[in-house]
Amino acid sequence: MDFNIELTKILHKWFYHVIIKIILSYRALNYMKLLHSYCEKTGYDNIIFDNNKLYFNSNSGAYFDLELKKFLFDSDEKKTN
Amino acid sequence: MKKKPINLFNKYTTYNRIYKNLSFDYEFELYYGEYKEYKIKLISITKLMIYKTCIYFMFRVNIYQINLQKSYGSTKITINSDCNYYLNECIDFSISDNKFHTYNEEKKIVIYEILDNYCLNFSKEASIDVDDKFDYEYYDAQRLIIFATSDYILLCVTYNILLFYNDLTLLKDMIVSDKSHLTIWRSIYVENNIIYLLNGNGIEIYKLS
Repeated sequence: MDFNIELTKILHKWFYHVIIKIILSYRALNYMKLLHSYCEKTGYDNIIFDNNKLYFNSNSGAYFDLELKKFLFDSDEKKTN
Repeated sequence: MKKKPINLFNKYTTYNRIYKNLSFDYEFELYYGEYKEYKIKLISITKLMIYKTCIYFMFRVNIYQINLQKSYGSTKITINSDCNYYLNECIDFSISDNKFHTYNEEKKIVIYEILDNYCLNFSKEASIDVDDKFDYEYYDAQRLIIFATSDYILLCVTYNILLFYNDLTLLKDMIVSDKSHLTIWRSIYVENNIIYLLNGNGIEIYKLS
């Protein structure tokens, strides 16, 4: 029984990777649709998406709010709370 | 600006800003236990990620690993001479799905499996000589960024983005943006096939389809 479960898990994993590879190879993936573009000169080196906000490495705690569509700082959040 | 404390593994505290295991400061401090004894202080780091109980960071032109379960010391993952300043923008790492991905000084993408004891076990590699692949002008500054997801790996090379399947088969070579407005990519983040790109002129968000 345990062996069957292990075998099923291995097969699922194997099929998952094979199927994903087939899907990716058939999908064009060269089509990149521009969803948003926000111009503002920045000196940041890192970006990360979390909870509908884009965070950057900055001493001022800068982030971009994708709902408000503007750059904000941690201090701005405190003011509005 | 006073930073909020973040508890790590119920043992450590840091005041660095950490989002999804990535530290967003050029310095990193970690304190141990109730009385917040100094455990680690790292300065002038260009990238730092926390994965399981290990810290991976770039300092100058090398990538290091610190296993917090060990009492002290770091392991050098790359072996560059500190004199190779030009490598500073040409190496990077990414961690995803228990795998450590790096673009290294030998112009290779190398994938290591992170073992249960946190040692890195070589898995596979592929040579990607970006100098041969792209005909950049000599004055073009190079910047290489690697970002791995469980399904694919993206390598940002100055203006271009190379997309690999996770077995390092090259799927696509993409140029994003109007060529007349090209600026060097500084950072990339990918989630659910949405690509968030940062450059000196702002942010661009794409859907990969």
